[in-house]
Amino acid sequence: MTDADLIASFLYREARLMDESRYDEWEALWADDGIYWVPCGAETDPNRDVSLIYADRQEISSRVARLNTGNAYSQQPVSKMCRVVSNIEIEPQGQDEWVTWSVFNLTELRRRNQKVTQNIWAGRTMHRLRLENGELKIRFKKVVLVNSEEPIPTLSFLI
Amino acid sequence: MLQPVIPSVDYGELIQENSPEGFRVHGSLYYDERIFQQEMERIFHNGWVYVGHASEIPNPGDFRTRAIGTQPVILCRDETDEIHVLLNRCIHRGATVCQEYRGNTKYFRCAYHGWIYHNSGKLVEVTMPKGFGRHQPGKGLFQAPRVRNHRGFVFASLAVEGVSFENYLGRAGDYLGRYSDLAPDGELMVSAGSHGLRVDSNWKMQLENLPDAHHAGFVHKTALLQFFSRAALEKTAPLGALADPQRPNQFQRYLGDGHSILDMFASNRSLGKNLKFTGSTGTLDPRVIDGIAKREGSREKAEWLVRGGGSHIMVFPNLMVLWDAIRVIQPISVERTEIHYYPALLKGAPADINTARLRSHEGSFGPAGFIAPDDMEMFERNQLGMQARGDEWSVLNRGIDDERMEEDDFGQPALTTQQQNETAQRGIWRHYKTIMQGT
Repeated sequence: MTDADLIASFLYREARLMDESRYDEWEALWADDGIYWVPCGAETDPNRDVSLIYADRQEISSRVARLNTGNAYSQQPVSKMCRVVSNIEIEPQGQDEWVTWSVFNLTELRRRNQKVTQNIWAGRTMHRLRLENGELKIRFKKVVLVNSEEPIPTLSFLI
Repeated sequence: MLQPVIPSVDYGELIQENSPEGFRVHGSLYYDERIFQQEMERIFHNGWVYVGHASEIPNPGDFRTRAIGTQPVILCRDETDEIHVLLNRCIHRGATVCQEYRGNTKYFRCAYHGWIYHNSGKLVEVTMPKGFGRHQPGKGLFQAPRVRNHRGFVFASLAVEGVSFENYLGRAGDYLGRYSDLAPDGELMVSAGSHGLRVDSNWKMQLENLPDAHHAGFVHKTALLQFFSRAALEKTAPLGALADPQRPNQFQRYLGDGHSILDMFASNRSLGKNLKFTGSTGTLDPRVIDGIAKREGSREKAEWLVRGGGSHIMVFPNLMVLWDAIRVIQPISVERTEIHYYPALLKGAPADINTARLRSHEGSFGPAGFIAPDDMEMFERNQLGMQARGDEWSVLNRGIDDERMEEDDFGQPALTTQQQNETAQRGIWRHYKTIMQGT
């Protein structure tokens, strides 16, 4: 398998885990020093500008734990999701590490009684991936949503 | 047999203080389009509303586009440092003249026919001026005739006359001041941008929710669990106040004029040195206390201020200030609202503390926080349930026999009850009724 295939498989699998809200398996993709960043705008400074998410590994764990309780009401019931991941570009960083860029387009459906809403979410994701013991892990993930500077519906599902 | 929806808008009928089942408000207040339009007129377009914080437009030419009710406005600072709230509407044929959320400009140019306005709103250039004949164009963009700045919080009224600013702000001003006092320089810096939630519910759902302490243990149970576990890991005390609204020295107070608070000052102070969480991140840091002490000329005063903690206030109709951010309710339609969050940084505090405030805010509020999304979920479920007929009333009786006038933390009287009651909500509805009835 080439590096490109390996990375594409990884990104597609991550997408599937997120679509299916398989929180624990998604958390297992993260390296111990992982940082997860969803900024408000494309080029902001997380130390000075507010973000939607700026999570260290501990907060990633807390997010998953909260969703696993089943009582995070903004995901009750859990959204039904399908996302396409495409436009993958890869920049090797040296031994066993890569920066990858990809684009996603997600249809997210939430039903509350008679009210069904389908939201479109789209964005460009940068991953920094490292091979650890034969498996890819996420060291850094930055998701720039098309609508990151707009008022948006609740973002309690995995993006 | 189902009763018909009440056909005419009689606010006295819709907001009943002494019904057989107590204090109740009718569901149509949340879904009737006519009521929404009347609210925009009577509350937002003729009253005072919060527009933005002066620190968002620190330099001449800085602007933000906002809305007052459903009217597009531009909050901007001109070259003489005066703050204006301009209608974002060319006086010629009505196109908007500013399309960006934020920026800096000397002039607003209408792209349609090229008219140009100075950032003070003054019309400076009309294209092809000879064509107007007898009727020369007006002086400039319409602007809010009354704009006031209280400790950086900029309020405006689109009406020339009406309630004075002092009578509008009432007791709320003290709490906005207290919140700002926790910055070493006594000023907030609203400089970190914003994010927002779009919720399919009427705007009043958020209005009623802010002084509601009762729901926290239920709706936010999962958030509290995470904060407790992190607190246990970091060996800090858990959230105390928020987790236990029945603690004896935590109060809900209605301040009059539509404003209300959750008062945790005494509760926080009672913890003494064990206090770890004040709701305003970083204010217990020695560097912040030192800065406040220097400003106040008194370490004792500084300790007293920080150990009381931050405000948790709902300023009618659209401003909330709590924890690490300013929050603004933006009505869009009768069943859609935007909630905007503006993290409030502390002027004079070290950079790492202000960064910590951002992290704390992000983990709690905004679209991906642990707290806010579940409130939005409740608002949407509430909006859906309100469509039902047969059972059409929202009943607000908690604490109806257990409220009394007491001195608040400023020594001023306020209608006070235990934190988990609904005194504030009743106060808000009484105030609302007064405005909507035009009395």
